[in-house]
Amino acid sequence: MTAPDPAPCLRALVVQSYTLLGEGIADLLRQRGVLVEVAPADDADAVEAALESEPCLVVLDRAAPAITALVVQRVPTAQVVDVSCVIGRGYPAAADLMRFEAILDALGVAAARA
Amino acid sequence: MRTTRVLLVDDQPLFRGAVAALLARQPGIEVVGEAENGLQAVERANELKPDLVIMDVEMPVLDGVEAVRLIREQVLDVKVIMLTVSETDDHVVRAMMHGAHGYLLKNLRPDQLFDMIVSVMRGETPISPAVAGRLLQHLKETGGSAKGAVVPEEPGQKLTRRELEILRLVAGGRSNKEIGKELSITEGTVKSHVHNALEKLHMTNRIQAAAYIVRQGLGLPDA
Repeated sequence: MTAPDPAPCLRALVVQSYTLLGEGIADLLRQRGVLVEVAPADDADAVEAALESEPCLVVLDRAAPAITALVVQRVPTAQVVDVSCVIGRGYPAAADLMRFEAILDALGVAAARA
Repeated sequence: MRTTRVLLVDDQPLFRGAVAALLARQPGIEVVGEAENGLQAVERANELKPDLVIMDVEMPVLDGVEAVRLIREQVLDVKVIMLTVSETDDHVVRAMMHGAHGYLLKNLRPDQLFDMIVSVMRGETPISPAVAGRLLQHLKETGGSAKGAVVPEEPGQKLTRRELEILRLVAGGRSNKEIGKELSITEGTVKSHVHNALEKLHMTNRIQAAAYIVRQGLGLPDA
């Protein structure tokens, strides 16, 4: 441990398929004081490197199963939110819509556990 | 600089929130409203009179392509950029024929989106490279006819020889800059020729003009 963390678990990784969505989510999290890294969902090396900083929250968007497996192996205690279940499909039922609050909830759980 | 008032239309609240957060950081841009389907977009556009609508394509109730047509019919002086994951030829072609001012894919970087917004407000027609090629291919194959096209058959005023020459190059997929180089005139001059030609043809974008050129047999795009 070289430097103290800024707060109990406030590190997140956004694994993005659509840059605008990923960067936007990262921005919303940073506004709340979270340290956020962003990695492209099609770049396993970048995701692996970003996992070195041990994020407590990982947001996935249309990640390949291998990427999801990598996340679960490397940071087994992190909260994982997959936003890809609805994004971009077009006609989800209103109840299925992914909202930013879901990410915040996961962050809350992660922070409480840290 | 005048603030660009934006209406953000997408059925995904997370995406709207994400893009709104990015736009909020940008000086000169203000998100004045959001809508979650095409019908709501038409209502909100009438009510808020935004400068720019950023419009998803696939949405429930009324899709973005139809919403563009209605907004362009009902609201004056509004620009519409499609921002979507859909690269479907039919969506791209119909959106542009209905008078959209740009067609962008969601894999843009935030700074690219900001540049595109500035560019569309300057009167240009930004199109993601991945879809621009498809659009030109479609024009070549169909001779510029598309379902629901609102391109007039006859221009209100006759085009000058120079305007026609420039529109042919536009139909060939050249940018203003490239056309300027080819004809040894400035980019600004090209832009004003294109602008005047579009006015005469009662058109809003280069794609409609390209379709017109192809359909009238005034020159085939060779790009």
